[in-house]
Amino acid sequence: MGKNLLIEIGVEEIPARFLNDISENFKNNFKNFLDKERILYKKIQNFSTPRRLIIFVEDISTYQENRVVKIKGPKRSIAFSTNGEPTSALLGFMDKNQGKLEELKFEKVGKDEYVFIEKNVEGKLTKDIIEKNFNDILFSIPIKKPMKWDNISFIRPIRWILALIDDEVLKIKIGNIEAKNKTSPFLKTVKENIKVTNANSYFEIMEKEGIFISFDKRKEKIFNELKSFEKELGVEIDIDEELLDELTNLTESPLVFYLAIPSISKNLPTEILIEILKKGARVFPGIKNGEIVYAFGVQNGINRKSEIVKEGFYNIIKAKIDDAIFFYNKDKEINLKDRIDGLKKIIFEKNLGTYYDKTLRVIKLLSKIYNDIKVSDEERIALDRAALLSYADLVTLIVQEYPELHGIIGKILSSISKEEKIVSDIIGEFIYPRKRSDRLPKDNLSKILGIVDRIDTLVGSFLSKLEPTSREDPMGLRRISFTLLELLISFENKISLRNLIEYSLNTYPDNLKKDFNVDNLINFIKGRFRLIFEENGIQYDIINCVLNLDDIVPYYSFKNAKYIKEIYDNENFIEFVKAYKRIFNIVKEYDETVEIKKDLFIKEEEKDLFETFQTIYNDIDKSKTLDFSNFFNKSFNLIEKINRFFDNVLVMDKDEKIKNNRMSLIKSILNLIKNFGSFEEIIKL
Amino acid sequence: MTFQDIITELRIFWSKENCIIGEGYDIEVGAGTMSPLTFFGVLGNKPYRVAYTQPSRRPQDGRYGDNPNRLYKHHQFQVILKPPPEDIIKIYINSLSKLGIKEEEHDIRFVEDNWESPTLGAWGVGWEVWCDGMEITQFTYFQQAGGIDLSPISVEITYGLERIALFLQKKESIFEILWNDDIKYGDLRLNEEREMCIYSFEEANIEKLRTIFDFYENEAEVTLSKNLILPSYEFCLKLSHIFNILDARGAFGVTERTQYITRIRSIANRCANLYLKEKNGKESSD
Repeated sequence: MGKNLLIEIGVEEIPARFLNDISENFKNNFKNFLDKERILYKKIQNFSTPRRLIIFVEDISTYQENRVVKIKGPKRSIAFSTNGEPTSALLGFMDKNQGKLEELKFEKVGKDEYVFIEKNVEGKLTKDIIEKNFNDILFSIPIKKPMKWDNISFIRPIRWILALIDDEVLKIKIGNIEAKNKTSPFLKTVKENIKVTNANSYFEIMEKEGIFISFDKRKEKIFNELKSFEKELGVEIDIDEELLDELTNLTESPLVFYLAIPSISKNLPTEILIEILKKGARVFPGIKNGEIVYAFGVQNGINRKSEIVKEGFYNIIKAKIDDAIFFYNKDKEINLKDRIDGLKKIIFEKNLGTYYDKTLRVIKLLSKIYNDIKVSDEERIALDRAALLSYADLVTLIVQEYPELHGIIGKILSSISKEEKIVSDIIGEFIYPRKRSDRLPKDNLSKILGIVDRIDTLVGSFLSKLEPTSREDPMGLRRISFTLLELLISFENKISLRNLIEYSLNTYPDNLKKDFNVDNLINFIKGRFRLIFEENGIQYDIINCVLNLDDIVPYYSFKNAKYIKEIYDNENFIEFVKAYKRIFNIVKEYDETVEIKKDLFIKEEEKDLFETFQTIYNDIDKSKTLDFSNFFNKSFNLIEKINRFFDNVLVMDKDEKIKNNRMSLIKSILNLIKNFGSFEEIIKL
Repeated sequence: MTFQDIITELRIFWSKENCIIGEGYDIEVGAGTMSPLTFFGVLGNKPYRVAYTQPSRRPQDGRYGDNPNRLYKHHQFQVILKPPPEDIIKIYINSLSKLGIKEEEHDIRFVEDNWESPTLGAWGVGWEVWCDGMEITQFTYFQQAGGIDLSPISVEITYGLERIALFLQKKESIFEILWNDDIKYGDLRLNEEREMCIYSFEEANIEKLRTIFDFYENEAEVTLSKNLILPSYEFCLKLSHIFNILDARGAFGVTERTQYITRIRSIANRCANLYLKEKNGKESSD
C-alpha cells in the first residue's frame, strides 16, 4: 500500500456562502497539479468545515513518473558541414545537454529540419514538488471577497497548516505559519492543539473531537435530526434548503435543538414570523395545525448543553419578534397608497431611477400589452391599481428590516388599507417565482404583472450595460430571466418576447437606447431557455428547432418542443421534416416573393398544392394558435401535395414569371411552417 | 455582572494586552470607529493598540425608549490592534470568559458580516460574533480607511455593551439592565432616550440643520487649508451627526443623500491623507 497525503489549512471562519466553492476549487487545483506533474494516486477527496480546508489523497506515489523530454538543437543544415561532419554548433549543443551523437534525431519544424535529442528525466520526490508549488495551488483558488493581512490575500487569515505524507511533515510555509503535525481542536481556548502523528489517524481524531469534516455528513445529520423531531413532536418543519446549507456551513459539530415560540408571536401574521425565524434568527419554523409553535435551531458543538444555548436563542427570537411587532404596528398606521411618494427616495438602480420611476414604467408597459392579451375592464383596473401599489411596501419599516417580505407585506397592508381583494392578491402573488422552480402565482393577473415587472428590469439593465458577465450579475438577471420564462411558459396568452421587449423599450428615454441591440437581450433570454429545455430532457436539435426563430412565444416554444419530442420517431413526422427540407433547400435563399397568381399555374399538382395551402393557411390564421400539434395533424394532406408537387413540377421554369410564382408558393409554405419551428434543425434523417 | 463591571473588566483585560486605554470621544459619533483614536490610529505602519468605551448615537434607531431592544444612543467597547496578533480569536474569546461567557458552555460563532462606512471611506471584512444566537460583537479586519489602503491592517473588535449586559443579566429590556447594584439603565437613560427622539424626530429644524451643515463644511475647508487636521476631522464628525438626524427625518431625496455622503467623505479622505503626509514627514525627519 502506498502513502497517504493529508493537508488541512486552518482558516478563521470562512463565510458559509463561499465555503463549498473554495473547497471544491482547492481540490480541483490540487488534482490538476498532480496530473500535470505526473504524480500518480488512487483517489483525491476534499472536506471542509468553517475553519478547515482539507485535501486527502490516497495512495500517492513517492516519486513523479519519469518522462522523456525532447531538446531542440540547431538546424540540420547548420549542425553538419557540407561533407557531413558535425559542426561546432552541434558539438556545443551536444556537450551542453550531454547528448550522444548516435542518439541524435531529426525532425521537421516548419520548413526546416532540426536536430533533437531525447532525454530521460527521472521523476522527482512528490514531497519536494508539493512543497515547492503548494502556495501557488492554494492562492490560485478564486476568492470572491478576499481580505489582506501580512501581505497575503485570501478569504480570511490562515492560522495553522497540518500537512503530512503518512507521518512525515511537509515543509510548507504561508506568511509566518509553518506546516506542523498538529490540528486545532473544536474548542479554541480550552485545549492545546492536537498532535496528528499520521495522515491516516486524522479522521479518527476529528471524530473524537466531535467534528464532522464532510459537508454532506453534516447536512445529513441536521436533516435527519429535524426529521426525527418532526415525528417525535408531530410537527411539520419548514426545512428551507438555503438555510439548511447555511447552517451546515456555520457549524463543524452540529446538533439540532428546539424551543417553543414565545406567545407574543400571536400578534404577527404567520408570513412575517416565518421570515423572522429563518432570516432573523436562522432557525427553522415548526408548524402544528397551521400555527408556528416551535423553532428548530442548530448549535455548534455536539457535546454542549443545549439548555444554555436554547435560552440565548429564545431571547433573540423574542427580541426580534418584539421589534417586528413594533415595526408592524407602525406600518399599519399609514395607508399603502400614501406610501407611494416614499418610493421617490428608494433607488432601483442608479441609471434607471427610483422605484417610483419603475412603478410608472410598469403601469405604462401594462397599458401597452393590454392590446395583446385578453383581460376584462375590471381586471385592467385591478392590475393598474396593483401595479401602482406593488412596490409601496418597500417604504415600510418591516420590509426595510426584512427585504424578502416585499410583496407579502404589500398584500397584508393593502387589505388592511381596504384595497379590493383582487388587488391585494396580485400584490402578494406577482413576486413569485422568486427563484428558479419556486411556486408560480396563483392567478393569471399576477402573472401578467410579474412578466411586465421582470421585462422592465431586464430591458432597463441591458440599456444601462448591466448585462451579466461570467463573474458578476449585480441585478440578478439570470434569475430574473429564468423566472420570467417560467411565467411565460405557464401563460397561455400568445405574447411574444420581441413584442414585450419593444413595448418596454418605449417606456425608456431615447438617450439610453443608443447602442442597444434587442437581439442581445433575446439571445440572453434564449440562453436561459436552453437550460430549461435541457433540464426537461429535450435534445438539442429540437431546442434549435423551436428557438432559432426571430421571435418566440415561450408558451408555444415549450409546448411544441415537448410535442416534437413525443412524435420524433413517428413516421408522419419524418415525412413532414423530409418535405419541409425539400422546400427549405430550394427557397432558403429566395427573398423576392411575389404575389401568387392562380392563372400562372400550369400543372394540376401546383394548383392542388396552392389550394391545400390556402385552406390550411386560413384555418391557422383564424385559430391564431401557434400550437404545432394542431398544425401537424392538419398537415398530412399538405405534405402529400408537396411531395407530388416536387415529383411532377420543375420549379426552375425557363419563364421567370412561372418560376417566381412557384418559388413564391413554396416560400409561403415555408413561412407558414416557420411559425412553429425551424425544422431544418432536426438532425434525424 | 453590572453594566459598569463589564466595562471595567474589558478595560483591565485589554490594558493587559498592552492597549492604550482611551476615553469616549466628546463629539457625537455614530460608532466607536469614528473616534480619532481609531480613524487616525489605523493609518500608517507603526504598531498601535487602543481600547475605549464610546457612546454612539444613531438617531435612526431611536424609539423614544418604547422598544426594549433599540436605542438612540448605545455604548460600544472598541478595541483596535495593529497589526492583529495571530491568536486574536483566542484572545477575544478569553476576554469573553472574563465576563463569564465560557467557550465550553456557550455557542460562540463567527458569522460573516462585512462592514463599510461610506462617509469615512472605510471598509473591512469580518464577522458578527454570536453568543447562543445573539450578536454581541462586531469583528472586522479593516482594509481601508479615509480611502487609503491600510498596511498593516488593523483588527477592530466592537463589543455591543447593552447586548452583552442583556445576555449576562438575563433581562428582556435594556432599560432593566443594572448599571450598578443600585441603579438601572433606564433610571439613568430612559428620559434622555425619550427627549433625544422627540428632538430628532419632531423638533429638529431641518432647514437650520442644513444651514449648519453648510457652515461646518465651510469651516472644515478653512481648517484643512491651514493643515489643522484634528479640527477638520471634528467638523467631519459634526457633519456626519447632522446628516444622521436629517436622514432619520427622511429629509433627503435619493441623489441628494448620496451627495451629502460624498461631501462628508471628501473631508474624511483629505484628513486621512494630510495626517499620513505629516506623519511620514515627521518619521523621516526623526
